[in-house]
Amino acid sequence: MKEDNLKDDEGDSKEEVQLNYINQLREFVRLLALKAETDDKMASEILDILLKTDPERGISDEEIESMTSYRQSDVRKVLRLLYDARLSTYRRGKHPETGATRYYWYIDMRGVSLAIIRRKKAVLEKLKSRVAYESNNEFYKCPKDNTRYTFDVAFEYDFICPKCGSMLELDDNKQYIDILKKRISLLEEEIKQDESKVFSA
Amino acid sequence: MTEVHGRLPRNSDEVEKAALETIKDHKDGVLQSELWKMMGLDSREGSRLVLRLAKKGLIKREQVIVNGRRTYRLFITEKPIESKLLNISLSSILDIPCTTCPHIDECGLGGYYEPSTCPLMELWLRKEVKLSIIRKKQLMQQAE
Repeated sequence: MKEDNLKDDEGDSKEEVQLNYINQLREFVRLLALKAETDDKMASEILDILLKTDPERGISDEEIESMTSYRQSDVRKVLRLLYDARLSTYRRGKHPETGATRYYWYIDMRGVSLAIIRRKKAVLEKLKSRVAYESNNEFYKCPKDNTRYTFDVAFEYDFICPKCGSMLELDDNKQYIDILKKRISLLEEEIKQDESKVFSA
Repeated sequence: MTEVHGRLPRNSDEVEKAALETIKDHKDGVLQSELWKMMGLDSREGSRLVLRLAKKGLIKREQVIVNGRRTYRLFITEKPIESKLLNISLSSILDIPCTTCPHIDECGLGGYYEPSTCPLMELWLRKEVKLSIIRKKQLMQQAE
C-alpha cells in the first residue's frame, strides 16, 4: 500500500496518475459488483461506457443495451449499483419519439470524488469502532479452529472450547490494534488531504 | 393561476440551461436581479437557481450593490476541468473489506451487522498480520 502512495506522488505525468486513479475506480466497481452478486465483467464494461460518455448528454439504459449484449434488466441492475455508491448520476429526460420518461446516465467526477471521501469516512468509522472493541476486550481462541471468544463468553464455557473440548488460549490482539491504529491515522490524514483537494478547487 | 400553470412544465434542467445561456450572452456579467426578471421567474426561484449553478461550478458570483441593495453579478466560468478528472486515490482502502461491503450503511454498533464482531474484518486483520510478518522478514533478508 505504501508503494502505491509513493507512485501516486512521484507520477511522471498527470495522465499516468489519472489512469492510475481510474484503474483503482475500476477495481472498486469490480469488487462492488462481485459482492453484490452481479457479473463483475459486465459492471466494468458498463463503467467504461459511462466513463466515455459526455456528462452533458448522458446515456440511456437502452443505448447501453444496444452497445453491449447484456439484458436491459442486468444493465439497470449495474446502473443502480453504481448509483447506490453515488458513482454515477442520472438526468430525467424524454424519449425523442415516444415521449416516455427516460433516464440519461453519466459520471460526474466531482461527485465521484465526494463519494470516495464519504466512503473513506465510513470505513474509518468502522475501523475506529473495531479498534475500540479490540482494546476494551480480552479474547480467547480455540487452538484448533481459531474461533475467538470474548472473556465473558469464554468464562461461561470455563475456558473450554464448546465445539472440540480443547482448552482456550489467550489471544494476543496487540498486532491487530497496531495495524488498525496505523491504518486509522493514515486514513485520517488522507481524508484531510483529499478534502483540501476537492474543496479548494 | 394561469401564470403559475404556465411555469410548471419547465423542469429545473431546462431552466438551468436557459439561465446559463443568458449569462453566456452577457460578457460583462449579468445582475442576478436582472436575470430572474428576464427569465420570468420570481426572486426566490432566481436565487435558488443561481445557488444551484454556483454549486455546480458553472458560474461565478460577485457581490455588488445596486440602488442600495445587495445583489450578485454573475459570470460564466470556463468549463470546470476537474469535473472530468478524478484526483483522489482509492488505493488506501481498496484492501479493507468494508470498502466494498454491501452492508456498509447498515453496519454499526448494536446492529445485525457490527464492525466489532464482523468475521470479514477479522479475516482481513489476520491477513494483515501475516503480511506484516512477511514484510518484516523480507526487510531482514534485505538487510543481511
